[in-house]
Amino acid sequence: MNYFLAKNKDVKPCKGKLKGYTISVKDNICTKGLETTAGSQILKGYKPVFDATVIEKIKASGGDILAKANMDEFGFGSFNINTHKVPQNPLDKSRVTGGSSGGSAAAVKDLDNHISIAESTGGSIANPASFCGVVGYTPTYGLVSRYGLIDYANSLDKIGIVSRKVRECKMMMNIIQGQDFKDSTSIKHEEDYEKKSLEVKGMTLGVPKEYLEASKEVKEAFEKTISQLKSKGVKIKSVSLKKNANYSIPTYYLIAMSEASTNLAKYSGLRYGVEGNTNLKYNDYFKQVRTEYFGDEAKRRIVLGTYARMAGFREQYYDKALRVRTLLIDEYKEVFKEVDAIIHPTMPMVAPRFEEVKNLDPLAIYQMDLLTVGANLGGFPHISIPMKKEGLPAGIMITGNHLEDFKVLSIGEHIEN
Amino acid sequence: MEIKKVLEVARLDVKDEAKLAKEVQNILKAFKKISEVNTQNVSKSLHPLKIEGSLRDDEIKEGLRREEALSLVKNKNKEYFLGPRLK
Amino acid sequence: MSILKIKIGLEIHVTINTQSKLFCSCSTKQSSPNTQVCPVCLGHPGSKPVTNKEAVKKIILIAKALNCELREELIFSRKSYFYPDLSKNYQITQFEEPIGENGFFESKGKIRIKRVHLEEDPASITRTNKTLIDYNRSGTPLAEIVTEPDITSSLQARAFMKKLLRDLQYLEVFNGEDVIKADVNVSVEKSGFKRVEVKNVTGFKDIQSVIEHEVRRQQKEEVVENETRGWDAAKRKTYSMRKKETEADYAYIYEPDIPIIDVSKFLGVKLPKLSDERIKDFIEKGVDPVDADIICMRKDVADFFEKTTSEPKITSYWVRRELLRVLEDNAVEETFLDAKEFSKLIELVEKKTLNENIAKEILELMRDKKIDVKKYVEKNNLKTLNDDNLIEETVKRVLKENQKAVEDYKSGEEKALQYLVGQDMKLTKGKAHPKKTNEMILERIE
Repeated sequence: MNYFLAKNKDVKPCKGKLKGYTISVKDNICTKGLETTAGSQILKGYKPVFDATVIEKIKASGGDILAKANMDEFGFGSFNINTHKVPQNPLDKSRVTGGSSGGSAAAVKDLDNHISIAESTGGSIANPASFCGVVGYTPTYGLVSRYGLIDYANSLDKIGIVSRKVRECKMMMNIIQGQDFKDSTSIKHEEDYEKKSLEVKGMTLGVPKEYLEASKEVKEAFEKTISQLKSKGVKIKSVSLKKNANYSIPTYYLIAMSEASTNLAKYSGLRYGVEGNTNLKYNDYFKQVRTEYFGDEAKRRIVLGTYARMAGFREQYYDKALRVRTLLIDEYKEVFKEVDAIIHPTMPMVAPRFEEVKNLDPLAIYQMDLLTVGANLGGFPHISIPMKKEGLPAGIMITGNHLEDFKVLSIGEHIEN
Repeated sequence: MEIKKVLEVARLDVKDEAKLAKEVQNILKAFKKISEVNTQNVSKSLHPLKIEGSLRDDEIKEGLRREEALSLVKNKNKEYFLGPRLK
Repeated sequence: MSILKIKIGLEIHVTINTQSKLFCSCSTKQSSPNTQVCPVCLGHPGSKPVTNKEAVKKIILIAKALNCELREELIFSRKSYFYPDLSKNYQITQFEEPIGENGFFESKGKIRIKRVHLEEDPASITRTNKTLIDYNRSGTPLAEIVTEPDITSSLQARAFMKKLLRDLQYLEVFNGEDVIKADVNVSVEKSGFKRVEVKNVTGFKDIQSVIEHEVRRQQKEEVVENETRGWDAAKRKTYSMRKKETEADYAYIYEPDIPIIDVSKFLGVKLPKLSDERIKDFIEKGVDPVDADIICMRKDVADFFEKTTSEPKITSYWVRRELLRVLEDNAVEETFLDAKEFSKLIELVEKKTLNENIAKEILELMRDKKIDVKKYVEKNNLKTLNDDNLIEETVKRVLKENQKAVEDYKSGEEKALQYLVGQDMKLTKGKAHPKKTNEMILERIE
């Protein structure tokens, strides 16, 4: 099923709290001595000389890493098809796992007692969690150190957790959370997530009316879940995220691609990774390596991201997007004044088949991220919980205000039961 | 803007420049939608929430040994990384 | 003939003297290639920058000393371009919002300072027949200082640079021995002030040479449009650079790995006295302006002078002549010289207890080891011979033993007198009071 890339031949069994589990990490998280490629050919054979901070924390808690989980190249994708070895959905091998943390979700679905550390920029944890029928939790931006995370978009990347049960997310979050002086954007906030979940009775959940466009089976499952919540004493309120519905996709992509295009400049055949022919003059050298080893989607995003920040274009694309971002975050925050959390389907459909997505227009693919992008752009904590009892899985997504991770996990745990 | 110029700035070649140019044009056209939004007096959000920036004390800490740093490449000699021609 | 109208602007890069680099904890000391490196300054995937507090404080000092308007927030940008010495193929710098703007610096006229900002240095490339890259320098903090084109001659540029570097030493943000780099902009009225930028000029001397060369060249060859040129240090001339090489779109974004940092608490820092003030202080104490200027060229020397307790004017002579000579290239701190002992030495000479020549010898010793002057003079019996009888004895002997010299003097050779005095000095091991000796000899032979 291809959900793993490099495997750790010398993996030790986990001890302490993690005893009995195996752990994988998305391949964009640096593991010392273990090949780390971020799903890209340009880092083929690259073995980092340091561990990411989350890896150090896992090891310090008695854990060890079994394998690197497959992913879209550098996180660029929603189906995990933008990579050399494409993983298959464990529930139906003709379908995608979702992306970009496709390997993490597939592994957790397929293996018992497995937890995978994943990463989300625009929805890359929630999306595959929804398609594979597992739990995918993305913390508030800054709660988990990004030191050692190979960057897609630095102001958007968040390390999170994929697991079968919410309880396992809580356990792992206690291990990987914490301010890291090596990551200037990590924030000072620690909590005990393993304490007993909050009661959802009496909470108010907001359903954004613009986020209900979905396939029949997804809509039905969502409505059923909402009814069940109502019967448990949860208040459901209709809310509006109009600005996000209209502008979160372009805003997200313009910022993400601008940052990504600078992050990917370092892959040029020097210092690590694939090398080139030093008899070439330097610009030709760089071009040779990058052209040969970057995939098509990576090239497309580099080009888009470069455009968006070039002189004469920057103000209307990159700068503008940064301002619109403020308004979109404010819109979520206004809604959080009236509700405890926001709830809607994670993805508008179940996992598509490979044929269905193979020839899709890039723009069409970007637009499928609508439901997850708003929360990610705003760095809000969110979790996807499987909500369908039969057939192909689909997730329900709960989004909370900044730093309200515990509330989000509580609601998630409640829905899970 | 010319796709050739952008590819030059990004140090990339693609097999089908025309196809990429069209895709990029379409996508940017769709993204141009954000110009509809009134952002007068709206500040830029460089990060999604306020982060208390912290500064590092000016102390020396051990980094990598030279062999470790050079172990990641084939293009090297005993002391230096070997790069492409400058002229 | 119309006066030559010239506009010169400088964009100067100065290394800030922190212990560790700007965004990582690697040492900034000179060392064997690629031994002061880590994942951050090597641009390893996943590594992240963390800003050096001392570098921030120092850039603020510089911006303040240059009378800039200061920002309360520190905001970095990514400047994207590709080159083998750039470990991430972008440089973390300050583009949109530099820490200081709209300042000025007085140096034979008021030179407006456009901006002052903080950025990281690329690595260094050694070119033999291969391109060898050393990342020790990668990530070192740099101050970039940009002037408006207010400088009007190479002499003024030289004075500006001298004073700037001097004051940067007074701020203790810059090591005098470090090399500075600049992009030099020169334009002349003859071509309507079309701007020529000469990039990557290294060192004080070359910067001046570039200006002189360009002013001459632009008078002869017309400048048709704004242009960028390179400097061939070996051939001592500028050359045209292909347009393609010079038109770079840096496509800046804000640095997303570093949040906006509030630096308002650092802005209230009090500046130490800069060279102008120190010179003024010394002149007020009675020091000659020219001597004060020379003493203040180096902060360590000025500080040393400040600590002396002997009469300022006389001490200033000793400092500007003897002390500088004895120091050579060493910093005062690198020697054993002590200001109080130095003062005692001078006072002994003034009291005529010690001959100047002997004092100068002792000064040299004081550089290399700790010396208590009074004790040393006592122990080695170096006090000036003032006792007339004793001197008379030695003079008699010298005259007796050097008859020829006496004859030479009598026949008109003035130099013979010096010879005789010298012989007496030899005899008394330099201790005889020179004036008295001279007088006594003359008395006897005239």
